[in-house]
Amino acid sequence: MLLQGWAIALMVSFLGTLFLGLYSALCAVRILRYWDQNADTARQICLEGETWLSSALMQYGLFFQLFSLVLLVLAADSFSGQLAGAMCATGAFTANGYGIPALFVKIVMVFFCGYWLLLHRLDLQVETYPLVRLKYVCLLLLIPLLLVDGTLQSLYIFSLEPDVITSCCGVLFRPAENDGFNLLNPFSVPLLLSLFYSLAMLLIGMGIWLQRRISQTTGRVRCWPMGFYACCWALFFVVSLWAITIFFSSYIYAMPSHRCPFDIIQAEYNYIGYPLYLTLFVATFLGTGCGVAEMVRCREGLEPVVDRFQATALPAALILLIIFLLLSGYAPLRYIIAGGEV
Amino acid sequence: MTLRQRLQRQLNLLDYALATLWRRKLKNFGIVVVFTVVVFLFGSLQLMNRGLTEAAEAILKGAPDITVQQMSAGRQVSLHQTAGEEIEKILGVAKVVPRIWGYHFDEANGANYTIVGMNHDGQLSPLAEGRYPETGSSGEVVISREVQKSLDLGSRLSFSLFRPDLSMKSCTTVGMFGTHTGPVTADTIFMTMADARDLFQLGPHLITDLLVYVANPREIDNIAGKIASKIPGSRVITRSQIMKTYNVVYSWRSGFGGICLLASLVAFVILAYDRASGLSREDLREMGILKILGWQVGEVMAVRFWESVVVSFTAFLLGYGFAWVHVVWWQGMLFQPLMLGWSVLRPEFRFVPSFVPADLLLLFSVSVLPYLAATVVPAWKSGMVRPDTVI
Repeated sequence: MLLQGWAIALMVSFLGTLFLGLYSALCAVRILRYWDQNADTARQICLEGETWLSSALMQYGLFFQLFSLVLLVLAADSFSGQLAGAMCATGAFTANGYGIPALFVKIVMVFFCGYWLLLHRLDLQVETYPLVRLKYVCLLLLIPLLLVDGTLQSLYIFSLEPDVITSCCGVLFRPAENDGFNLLNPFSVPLLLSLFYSLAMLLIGMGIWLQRRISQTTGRVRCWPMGFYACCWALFFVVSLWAITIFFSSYIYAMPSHRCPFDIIQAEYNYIGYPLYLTLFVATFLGTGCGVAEMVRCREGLEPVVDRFQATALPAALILLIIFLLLSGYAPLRYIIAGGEV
Repeated sequence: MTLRQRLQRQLNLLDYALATLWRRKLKNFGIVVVFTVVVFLFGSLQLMNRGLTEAAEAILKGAPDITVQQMSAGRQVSLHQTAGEEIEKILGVAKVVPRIWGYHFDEANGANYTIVGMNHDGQLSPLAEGRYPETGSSGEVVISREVQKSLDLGSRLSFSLFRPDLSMKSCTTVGMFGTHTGPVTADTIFMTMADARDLFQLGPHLITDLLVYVANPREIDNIAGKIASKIPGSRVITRSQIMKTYNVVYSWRSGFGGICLLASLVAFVILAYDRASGLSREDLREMGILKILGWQVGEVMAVRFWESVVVSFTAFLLGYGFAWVHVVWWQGMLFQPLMLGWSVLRPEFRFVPSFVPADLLLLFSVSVLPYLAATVVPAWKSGMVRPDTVI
């Protein structure tokens, strides 16, 4: 299916990201090899200039990755019009073994690029650049992931065959009992919703508590709670995607058999998926970013900088979490108020 | 720095970027023109693909749910009309309509007409002029404007077609297809079953296919399976399969065009990189002065970024606008042979693609993203200029 507009767009976007990634990796190698904070040589001045370039390249890279994530979902939706058995993007993603892994790696890449930029922002606020080596090692580690992302995406596109019958969301995510062929239904819906709202309440409670602690205690005391808080955010992200797929989406579509996490970004559903996923992604990034920042707070001069970041990120994550809960709960609530059966 | 101050800073940088672009208007005008052409080419293909797919969807809404044909030795052969009675017995089948269709080659002008023979039952799509042939009438046909031109009929209504034994069959035009069904009716001559059987000299009760209408759309696949098992050697095609095939064909054609245009995209990216890298003496002097005034590398890069954004968005909007004009007013004449195929009877078809934001994203990713990627390194290089070397 390479001869398709969306496939070409995805490949062009990947080649753009690869160019940015490889160029920044080149800068990273030079910086790791020759960086000397105390030197006053022309090479050191040049390397300091290269940090600007690598940061710009990574910012572009993050933008490209975000763009490419949306593009992949829209491409899958378009492919579904050509694949036998597929009625939406879910069917197109499961048409071969590479679709879901490609999507997963792309989401991971978006978060990792964001964490790198976070480290870079923290680093720039300290005169001694305490994170230079760490962040450029991380940058080099991102390159293999970028290659995996591109390879999976290419394999997915190359392996799509319009004449191979695939299964769609109604089959994959249905609450069936005995066919053993659904992806996300090991627990009952009430259990899943309990987990979803319990985690949300825990995050709100912990967020308020940590916000108060920031001004009262030293970093060492906050280290473990902040790590736990970040892990809860990561878990909440997974549970949210799960809940959107098998519970909230069917209320948005007003159709019990339609359980697709991708169609909600379509015009027919007022593009509700965009604010829903945007708030979830940004809130998760800020929440887990607090944990990432906490890991480097012990470095020289970073404590006040990390404190400032966390003091902004924690309330922002909470506000976004509340907006996400309101957006996701709106459709089921409207259904119940209108007299629907629970 | 507060959010308001940050915003004001970016606005100031944008203001400066606009002034810089205006100072070097000739150089930037060249880039905008080439960029506009690239967006125009990709945009036209995408809009034509959208227009054709939507037209196919609209036309297929009136198509039968299932089409049944008989195969023998891997080729389609005639089917006995009694097969329809077998299908009617299947629970859920609303109606079965027999049809004769085939091709008729006109040696005089090299055109290949599609002959469709069906008894009109009031469910066919409306005509632009006239009526469908009455069942029981003889020689009445419905044609398209393209067929009318091809046969050079002018204001005449009667014409003749050759039977296989080279005897003549007289036809009289009683209706005309509209342009909205152009892609499928441009080469069609519609007549009654009896006339089509007479023209092709098919045996009595022989037809080419059966059109099956199903009461519940969710049962289409089940009923298709039952038909396949009831009529051995049959080919059963559902409407969704036909739609997916159209989708594949149009996507493939626009994708093929896109692949061919990639060369122009690469050439443009190289041009953009070269133009952005090649700083004139004046540009270097300007950078030097800015650095002396205290500008950081990041600020110079931000100005260059805003320049790229202004250039790319201007070209994007212009290119997309021209693509609309090209597709809607000039029927995408540049890409018509690629998207519609080439034939003596080319459908006269008006593209009316709907505006879909996803298409904009697609176009954005094959035009603006490569341009932004190509200009980031030159932007940094211009920010790294040392004032003492240029002033």
